[in-house]
Amino acid sequence: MRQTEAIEGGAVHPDDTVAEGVTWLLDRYEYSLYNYLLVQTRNPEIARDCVQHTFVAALEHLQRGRTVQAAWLYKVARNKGIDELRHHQRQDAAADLEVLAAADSSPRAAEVRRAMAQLAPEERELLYLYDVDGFTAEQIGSMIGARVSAVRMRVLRARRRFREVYEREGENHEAAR
Amino acid sequence: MKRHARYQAMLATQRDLSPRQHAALTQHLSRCAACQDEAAAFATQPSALITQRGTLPPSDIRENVLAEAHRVRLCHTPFITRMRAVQLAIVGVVLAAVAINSPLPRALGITPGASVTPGPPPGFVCLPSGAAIPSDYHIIASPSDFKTGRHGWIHQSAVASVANEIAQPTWYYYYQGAASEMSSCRAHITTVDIEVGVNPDGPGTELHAVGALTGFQP
Repeated sequence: MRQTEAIEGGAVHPDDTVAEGVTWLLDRYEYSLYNYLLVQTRNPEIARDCVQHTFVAALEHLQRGRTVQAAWLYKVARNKGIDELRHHQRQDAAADLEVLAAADSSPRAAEVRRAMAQLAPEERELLYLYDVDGFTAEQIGSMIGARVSAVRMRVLRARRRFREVYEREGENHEAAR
Repeated sequence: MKRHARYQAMLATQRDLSPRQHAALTQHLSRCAACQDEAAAFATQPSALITQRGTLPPSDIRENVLAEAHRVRLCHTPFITRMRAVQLAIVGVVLAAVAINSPLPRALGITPGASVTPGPPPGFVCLPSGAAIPSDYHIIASPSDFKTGRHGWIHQSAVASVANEIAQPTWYYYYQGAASEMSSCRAHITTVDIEVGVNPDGPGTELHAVGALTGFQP
């Protein structure tokens, strides 16, 4: 499979050389995976380690002659993120959040980040995967091991929770002015 | 009520509905005020959430991954295809089985499971018992290979990853992927030090146990 075909197919095939394949994956997914893991873990260091782990796993996968697709990358990143969070029950998550919010490009982005931080990890993850990265309910279902109908229902709940929290954040912000 | 909930779930994930689902939802919206309100509230959410995609990843991620890719490329031996490796390994297993059952090893006191093995062919490394294996020697085999005592192969170019915890002396074949020669010989693995990790492919799929050996008994 040639590189252009790989791009159209959204996957890297083992016929591409391993180095070419992983470079293409980095070009295409590094940015989105890092932001996904930031939303999921709220910790830049953990996000960084998880992204690196994911691409090294992709490298190994390609080397074994297997195809790497977006859903596979996200699944690996997700599992690693969950694993890391379990091992790092950190006390300074709030401080991390403020560092991230301060680095956001606009006040609105910071507000959204604070609202997202109040959601459960699964709610944050679903909103990010569906609305930001543009995966379908079916693709998300295959990543998290859930049926399409269950994904749709969970996205609905996450949207409602986000609306509730975001509106409250907005009110608090107004009151603070 | 159940049907209404289903429409609400469709409302939250409108982007990837089938044309048929979309038509059904539109019809429902035309007569359900509650869903109309919810649809209006959800309409602006994606644009708010998209702001969460604005952080640049640290540059060292790319550098480290590409350095690893470069290292793998240097170690990789392209002439050994996977099929070829399997074929040669099978030949190695058969030859060894023949050798073990032939009168000569028995006459020399060599029996299956004994701690004496033939010496390695030229170009192979066999280390004294308990010696540390160079860090670029790794195992490629599934955990079931370890558990059932089947043959596995050790390849220089493999990289460390995830595996199950196994520390059981078993007979293995290994080969060295040198540029011009490839063969197999037996080694007695005394200890195996493998990291415990998550199988990224999920349950039920083959987990490649790739870990560093800590001891060999030639």
